[in-house]
Amino acid sequence: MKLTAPSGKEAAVCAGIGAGGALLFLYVFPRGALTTLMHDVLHLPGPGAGIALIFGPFLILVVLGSHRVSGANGGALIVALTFALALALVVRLFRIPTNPKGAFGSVFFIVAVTLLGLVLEVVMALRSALSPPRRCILAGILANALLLVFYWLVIFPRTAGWVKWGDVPLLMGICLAAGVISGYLASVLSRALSRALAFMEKE
Amino acid sequence: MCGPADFAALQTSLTRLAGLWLAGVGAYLVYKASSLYRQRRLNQGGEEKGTVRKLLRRPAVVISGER
Repeated sequence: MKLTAPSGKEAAVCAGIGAGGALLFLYVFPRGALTTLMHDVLHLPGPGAGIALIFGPFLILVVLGSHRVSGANGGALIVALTFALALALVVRLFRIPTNPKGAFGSVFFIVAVTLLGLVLEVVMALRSALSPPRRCILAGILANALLLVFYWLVIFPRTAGWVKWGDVPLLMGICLAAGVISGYLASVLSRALSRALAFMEKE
Repeated sequence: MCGPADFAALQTSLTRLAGLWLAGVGAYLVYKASSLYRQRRLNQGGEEKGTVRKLLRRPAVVISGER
């Protein structure tokens, strides 16, 4: 396994994607939208349904997609870190209301998202062991599961309370399924994107 | 624990998501159309070049009995 530090340009591209992803998330999911969708429309138990079904897969798509497009080592970690920092900064600077349950913008939130980036980075570094789609799927499953478990153990006890044991199998099942789908989608999307970028560079 | 339902926020979210999706589809269609147009122009240019080359490769006409 050959590890090299990302170049300045690659790091800047990754940081831009991370910050853009954070802005996109804040724009698409205003306060209350996720909770209403999860608990009042889909009637899923909580806490953790929004993290498992929407927030985790969204992050995986952003981080994995950019990682495969830039191809830089450490790219996933940079994207995840800038995502968390940009979201925290924008929420505090513009006083954007977010759901206190998710602790968006807090130190624990930054740690959770960075951990997700680290898991994705480690799995994506196994270049010779697995084919790219399988690597993306495995990375999606592990990262989404880790994010949910971190939220259950560290964040939700402070903001929403402990998850009920009876709800764990359903929520974990949803989390794993969403991880598979987001990993596969990230693989397909990033392949198409890198092909388009290569075509544009060739022209 | 979950807070009150906010269907207005959900509606805003879905509207924005649909808008972004439409913008994405539009951008993809524009990209596809422009790449097809370029490809077609490249092919046409190649065909024209090929015709010129064929004309140049033709043997010169020799008129017998010329003074």
